[in-house]
Amino acid sequence: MIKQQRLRLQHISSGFGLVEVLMAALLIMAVMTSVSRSLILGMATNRHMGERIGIESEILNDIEVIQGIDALANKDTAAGCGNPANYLATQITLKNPEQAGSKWHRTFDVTDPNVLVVTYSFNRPESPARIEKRIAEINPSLQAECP
Amino acid sequence: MTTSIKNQIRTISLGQAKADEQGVALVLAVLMSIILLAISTGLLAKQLITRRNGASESYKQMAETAASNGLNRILAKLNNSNTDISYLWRLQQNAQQGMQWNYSQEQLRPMMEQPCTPLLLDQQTSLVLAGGDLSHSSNLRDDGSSEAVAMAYKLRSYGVSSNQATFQIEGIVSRGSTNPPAIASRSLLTRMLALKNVIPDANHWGALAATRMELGPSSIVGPGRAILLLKKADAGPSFVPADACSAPQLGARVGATNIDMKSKIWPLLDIEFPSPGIFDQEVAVDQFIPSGSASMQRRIWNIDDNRPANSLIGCNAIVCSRGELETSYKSQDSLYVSNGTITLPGLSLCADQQAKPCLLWIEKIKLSGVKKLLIASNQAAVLRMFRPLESISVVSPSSLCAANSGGTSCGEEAERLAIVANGGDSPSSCAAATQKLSFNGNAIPAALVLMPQGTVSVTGGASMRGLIWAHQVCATAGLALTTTAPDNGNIIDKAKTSWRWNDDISLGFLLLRGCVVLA
Repeated sequence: MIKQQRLRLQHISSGFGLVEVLMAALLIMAVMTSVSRSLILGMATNRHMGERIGIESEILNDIEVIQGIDALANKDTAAGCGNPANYLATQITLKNPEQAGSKWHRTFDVTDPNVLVVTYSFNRPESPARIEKRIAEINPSLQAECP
Repeated sequence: MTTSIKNQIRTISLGQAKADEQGVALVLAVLMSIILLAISTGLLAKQLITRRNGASESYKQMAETAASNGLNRILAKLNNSNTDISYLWRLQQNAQQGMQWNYSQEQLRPMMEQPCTPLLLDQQTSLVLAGGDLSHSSNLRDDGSSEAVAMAYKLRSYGVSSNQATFQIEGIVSRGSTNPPAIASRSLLTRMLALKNVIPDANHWGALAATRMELGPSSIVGPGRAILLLKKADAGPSFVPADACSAPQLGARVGATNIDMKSKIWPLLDIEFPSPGIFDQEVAVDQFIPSGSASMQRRIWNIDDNRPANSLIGCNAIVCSRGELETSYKSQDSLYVSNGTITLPGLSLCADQQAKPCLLWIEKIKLSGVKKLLIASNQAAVLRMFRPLESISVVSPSSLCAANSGGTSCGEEAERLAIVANGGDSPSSCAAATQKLSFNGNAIPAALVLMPQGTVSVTGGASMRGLIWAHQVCATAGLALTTTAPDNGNIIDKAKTSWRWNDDISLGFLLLRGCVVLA
């Protein structure tokens, strides 16, 4: 009987104290909060990185398309030798217009007739209020064919 | 007893529970927290690394773009015909072979392909060629930092070999305004370009070209220059003096007395004549099957309107011909000579290929004022001298010319008749006997002449429409070379079109152009 009583009492009084459990919960909560914050931050960083990679890839692709247009226009001496940069800019606008809804914006500068300056601007994925730029300068290959 | 037992049991059981489990929850929570913190620290580290790699990749791309932009800036300068500095294409700019772009005029002239080219490289252009900022005064990456991101390029080396140029350009991305700024990324771009010669217009083509000239009062009527081809090793140093390229000095080199001609002389060093093969584009060769032979042989022409009675060739006629493997000539007078005119009709020349220009192999043409020689065909004709010491000599009032099929008068289109020789012994004197074309008056009214090792000699005041490119031009008696076509076009354009010359054929004032080789 004593043995049975002892086992029953053991069962009733096993477990943690209230204070102990509260402290443990507080600790876990604090840690979980910081972990979740870093998780959220990590996810945001990954998303920004993905956006950045996407934008930069699109810009690099656009530069390559422009180089292709330049190579194809290198025999248009009659039309283009007056201002090769302006001619190339016109060709690019015709053949490779800026896509509506793209996350970057493109401008041309033909101040120097032998260098077309293409400036790409986009909002930084990490801080959208801020602007980032890529500048590509292209010497129209048409120039080498001009007298 | 019962109460005592109960108390004992309670004491034992409670005492045991506290001893075993007190604080375990806290310990477990701490352990779990440590694990979670370790995981989150790992995540943070990964994020930081990813972020850094991302930024690094961005900077790397910007550096590559900077190098490419730098190359384009340099190309724009070197290919600019308004401020022509294309002579730099032929000079080295590297530590191993020398920084030749920076040489003085005295150092440069003897080593240049065109020693009289104006040296227009100014300080501002030099700076652009060496390197520069590419940011257009803007911060390329506004990330909230006070340190602006900028990109620039630097020419590391330039080398040229034959017609291939190699650039090494460094693209640099930097942060901040310190001097020197902190480098965020670098990229080295190596790019090979093909070089090609361009002659801007007909005014700059060589209407007359020779390695040795005695021009006297000769002149060029119409567009074109007189090109003097020299060896760099021999003639290079003679261009060091400041006035070496003045019209009087250049005129003195070729014995020119005509003031306009003096201003048209343009020396080229280590440039070769085009190959006589430029007239071989899609021509048909005059050939026939000799009697007793089973195969076609090229026909060799020997024409002399004043042949001595006992000619050494065993043919006393005016027009003699043979197969290239035959040794004896046959008279062709009955076919081709009529009154004062020798007519070689297109229908009998290159008979099987009437739609192509016809190439005739000439052993000798000597017209001493008795007969006129017409090559009457609707296609162009090429007269190619057979052996190195053979010659064509035409003394006015005789003439040698191309005419329309069935025509009896000389045509005026120079592109219709090409006189070509690729033998000769490159003589150094007008008196030397060699592969020679000699004429006077209007004996050869219109022709394109190419004799890289032969001599063109004017035996009296003469005029001709066309081009003369020969090893030696002896024209102290005076030659008026007309380069305008009968329809007011120019001979060069006509020749290029008629003979389908490609862009590699160029002899004149040369502009060099560098083109990116597309892989």
